[in-house]
Amino acid sequence: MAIVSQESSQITVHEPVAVEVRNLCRSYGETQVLKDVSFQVEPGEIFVIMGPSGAGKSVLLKHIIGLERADSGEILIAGKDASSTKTHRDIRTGIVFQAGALFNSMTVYENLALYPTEHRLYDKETIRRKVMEALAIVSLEEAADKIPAELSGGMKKRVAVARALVIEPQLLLYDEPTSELDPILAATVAELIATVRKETNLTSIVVTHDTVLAKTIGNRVALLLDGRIHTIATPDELTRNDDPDIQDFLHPKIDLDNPRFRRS
Amino acid sequence: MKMNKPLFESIGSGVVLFLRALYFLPTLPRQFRRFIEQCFQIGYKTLPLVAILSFCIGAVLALQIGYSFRDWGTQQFIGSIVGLSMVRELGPVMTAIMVTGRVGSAITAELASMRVYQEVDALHTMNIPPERILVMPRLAAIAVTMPVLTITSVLFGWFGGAVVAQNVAFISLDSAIYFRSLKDFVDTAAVMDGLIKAEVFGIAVVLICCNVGLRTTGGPREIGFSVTRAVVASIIFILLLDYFITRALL
Ligand SMILES: Nc1ncnc2c1ncn2[C@@H]1O[C@H](COP(=O)(O)OP(=O)(O)O)[C@@H](O)[C@H]1O
Ligand SMILES: [Mg+2]
Repeated sequence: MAIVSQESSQITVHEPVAVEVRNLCRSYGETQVLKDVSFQVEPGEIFVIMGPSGAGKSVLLKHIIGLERADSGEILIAGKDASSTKTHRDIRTGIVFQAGALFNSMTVYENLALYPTEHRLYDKETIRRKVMEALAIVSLEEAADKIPAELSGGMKKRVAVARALVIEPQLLLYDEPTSELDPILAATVAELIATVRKETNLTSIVVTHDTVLAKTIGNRVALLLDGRIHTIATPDELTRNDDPDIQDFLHPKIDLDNPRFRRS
Repeated sequence: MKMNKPLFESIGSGVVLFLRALYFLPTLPRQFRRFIEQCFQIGYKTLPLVAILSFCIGAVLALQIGYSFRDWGTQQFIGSIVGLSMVRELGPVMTAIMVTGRVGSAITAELASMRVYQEVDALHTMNIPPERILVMPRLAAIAVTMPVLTITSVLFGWFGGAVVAQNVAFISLDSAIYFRSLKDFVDTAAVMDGLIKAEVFGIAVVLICCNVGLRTTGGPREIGFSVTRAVVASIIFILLLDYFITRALL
């Protein structure tokens, strides 16, 4: 995987930001999805949020990026309210959606160039260089003129990461970046997240249920169970913790004689 | 009253959408490529359909009038009647209905799928308002192409009527007489009224279809529901507006 050296890097470095989530609650109709969630992310950190499907991880990310409004509690990005559009205009934030959310009617190149073009950040030639650079980071230069429908699942994921990189974010959220990828590609994306963080010094929040990913790239890992933060710990602490819920999630034992779905 | 809540919500959000799209109108030069593409989609590709259908409507209209008045010696008025009805009523309404079916449904399907597959969310996270790049270029395109489509519709309708009037045995009205009687009745005011109507219909249809598309939530099934809802709402709206604009312009 070609990672462009720091000197030649076209991706501009901005100050990383801190994120603080305070007593966040959110219900959809009768069901409460987020129950009093609080945590802090340090500037420049890779903060991993793990949890089973349906725990509320994607909902949490949507609140941080400002797509959803909380019922109560607040989220601060560099001290500013995450639910206001102005915050996201002042601070560059990006998200890699679980399903990619690429613009299906545009080519890969247009997908990446949209943000700098619409916000008139650079002249055409600079945008071209930056886009090609981002595509080079994810080894997809040759796919620039393809449309998303022509890409494989893994390629779409990498394009989604590249599109977020072009935004040159100070805070980047990843929603299950390695799900649906084969082990090699998953490792590539893990390396990518770590490299991006090293080269651009941004703050990353990674949602995943990939234990290997969490342990290798995370500075700290939060375990979200049923809408509540169960534990926040470093990967080592988490491995050593003997809480049955944690161990069951990290190393689920497949017990054919006593299947889970038959347990009361 | 309870049943009407979604209706008022839709109308309210439609008005908000329109105002927001208007607010972004000054950025049109930057969206010029999207605008031209939409003109092509909306205008150029709808033109043949509008021409053929209007020709048929004009022809049938002339046939009906010619048959009904065949023993009255008033055949020369076919030109005036076809001319006026095409210009004031059938041209704008039929064009708007064809735009709904050919363009509006496609707009709703596209925007609804962008909603469902989180593309609109992605735009929001990039601080790019969907009104600016999705709605405004389409509204501008319909505003420019609707008069062209309507004039095409009217001309082909007149021509269809003339062909029938001349060639059907029990009418046998010479084209020159047909067009002379048409000119006696169709004045600039009638043409302007028709074009104003068409412009309002076109903008309303695109606005409704964008609004319904952008308000879609759920999965692929809801995309289909949204298209149906947008088309039905547009046609009802066209017919209601038609009455009130006609009253206002008379
Ligand atoms: N827009 C919504 N409307 C209703 N329920 C929702 C909505 N979004 C998420 N949920 C519910 O919230 C819960 C958590 O969803 P999600 O955050 O997507 O889980 P995950 O942790 O797998 O990403 C699920 O039970 C889901 O049904
Ligand atoms: Mg999820």
